[in-house]
Amino acid sequence: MSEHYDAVVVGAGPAGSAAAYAMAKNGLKVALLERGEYPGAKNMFGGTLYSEAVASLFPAFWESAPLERPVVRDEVWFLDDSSAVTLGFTGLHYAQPPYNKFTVLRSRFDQWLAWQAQQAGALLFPSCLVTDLRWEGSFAAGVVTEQGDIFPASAVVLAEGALALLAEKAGMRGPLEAHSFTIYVRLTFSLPAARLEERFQLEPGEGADLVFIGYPTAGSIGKAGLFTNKDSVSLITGVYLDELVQKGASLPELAWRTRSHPLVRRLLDGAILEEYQAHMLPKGGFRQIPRLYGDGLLVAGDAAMLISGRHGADLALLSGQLAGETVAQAKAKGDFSRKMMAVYAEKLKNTFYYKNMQAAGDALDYYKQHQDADFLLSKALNGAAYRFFAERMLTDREKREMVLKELAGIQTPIKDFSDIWQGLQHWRVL
Amino acid sequence: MTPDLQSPAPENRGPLPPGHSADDAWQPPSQGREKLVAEDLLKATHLRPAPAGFISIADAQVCRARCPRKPCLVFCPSQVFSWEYDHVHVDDQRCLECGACLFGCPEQNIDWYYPPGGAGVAYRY
Ligand SMILES: Cc1cc2nc3c(=O)[nH]c(=O)nc-3n(C[C@H](O)[C@H](O)[C@H](O)COP(=O)(O)OP(=O)(O)OC[C@H]3O[C@@H](n4cnc5c(N)ncnc54)[C@H](O)[C@@H]3O)c2cc1C
Ligand code: SF4
Ligand code: SF4
Repeated sequence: MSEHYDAVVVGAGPAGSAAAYAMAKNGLKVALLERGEYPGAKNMFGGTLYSEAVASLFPAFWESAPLERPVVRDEVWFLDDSSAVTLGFTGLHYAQPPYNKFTVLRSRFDQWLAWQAQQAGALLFPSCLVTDLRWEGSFAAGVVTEQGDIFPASAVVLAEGALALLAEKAGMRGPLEAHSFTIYVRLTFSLPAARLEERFQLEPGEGADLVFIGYPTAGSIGKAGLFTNKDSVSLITGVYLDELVQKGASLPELAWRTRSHPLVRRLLDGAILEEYQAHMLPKGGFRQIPRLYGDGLLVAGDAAMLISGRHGADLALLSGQLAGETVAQAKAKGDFSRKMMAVYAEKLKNTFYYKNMQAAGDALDYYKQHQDADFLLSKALNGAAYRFFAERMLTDREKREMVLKELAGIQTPIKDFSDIWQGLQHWRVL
Repeated sequence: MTPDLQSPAPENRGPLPPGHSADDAWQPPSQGREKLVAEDLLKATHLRPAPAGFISIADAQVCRARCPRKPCLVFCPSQVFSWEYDHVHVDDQRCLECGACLFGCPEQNIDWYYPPGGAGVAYRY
């Protein structure tokens, strides 16, 4: 049995490292346990990290954190076999402090984040797989590792990510099912920075991200997205796990189909595949948020189902910080009971993301129930656009009628502006 | 257990795991090929050998008798599962640790837990 800690944190992703950082900064004795060989070894996302959230913990983090590119261009492409209708925004202000969001490689960024916690005094244990909680009555009193090592502690923060296996074991949540997850694969291709910038019409250092709708997972809710890193490009393709299972589709094939689309292929021409990754994303939404606290126990980040729209890693950071601050308060009072730990849930309930999740409620269920909505919309938009842009020997009136006929065939939930808003939320890549 | 007191080198990409040089970079197959199996993609990923057996099929009879579609053969993103004569063969050295098999097997017939600390995938991107 090793020495006693004020807190052990399971998982050195954004949630765990932020929790460890907040506690260590308050003088607590903290162990941060990570099963990967280094923080980030097991983690992948699209992805972009929102600046405001990170800066609230680490002001001007862009001066020291390993970031790829600040994103100045965001686009949604409604893809059909040989065409795309695109919707986009380019904001060059986003290339300046305080920035908007950055593309990030998790294998680097998570290490930097864990290092912030280490510098504040937390002890990082890499290659350390936690298999159980250690209990004293109803109190979580530390953890047990796969090798049988025990880390006794006054409090445990579960920041173990999407699968939340320890949270389930601890009775914080019921079993999750296939429909609670989307599963993504990611192909990362190296491409020299100068070529990348030329291809994506970027000035040196600037970044872009593109979302692809309606292809390649025709007939089921699946999405793809492309992110520019410093000298590589990442292409993610994903789908709800229950859909994947029901439809018998194969993700590597879908991913390669995206990669081979004539409009995507040209963006990746000559780029060399460097890595293939897979990861799940918890999409259970508000209804599946688990119990967030117990005696000596808190759950944060993906393990707490805190995903809202395109926000995930940032929410993990913010919720981890709240969890860490709560444990620091508990330590100051010498009370780690659930009454004290409830402060975390109270604080969480006042955050923008918790409120967003609550408000989103079932609204996005439409897309879940109408699996082919994206596909149909994409098809119709492209059909209409083909007719609109085609120079034909027709009167304007005839042309207008053809386009309207094409659009009338769309069966989507969009009826008014608030539906468009919902759609925009849904089409963003997560 | 000893804590890691070393600083990462934030300027560098996540440490290039030993034994993996940039020369290992895999070339994509010929242009225009639509179908690609995980086999080809996986060559680009760095996997540390894990002691065999962290994934297993709980009851082979269930696969034979109760699961006509055998979805695990398809939903696993790295084709860890394959059908051999009368049972599901498991190649746990290819596992990307996504956890999908815990939720995707309709019979909950797959025993899966993380490989031991430090083993398995070590992503570089
Ligand atoms: C394809 C995809 C795209 C995404 N895109 C974005 C995006 O663009 N922007 C965004 O903000 N978010 C995005 N997300 C979501 C984001 O990745 C997550 O919300 C975020 O990583 C959650 O952080 P976390 O710390 O809670 O969990 P994780 O990052 O998963 O960290 C959990 C850590 O715990 C470790 N661990 C787990 N179990 C144990 C154990 N038993 N013992 C020891 N260690 C353990 C893991 O190795 C891991 O390091 C995306 C996710 C996916 C899958
Ligand atoms: S899905 Fe489950 S029950 Fe079906 S063959 Fe695979 S392991 Fe067996
Ligand atoms: S964890 Fe993922 S990659 Fe590993 S066997 Fe299960 S489904 Fe396949």
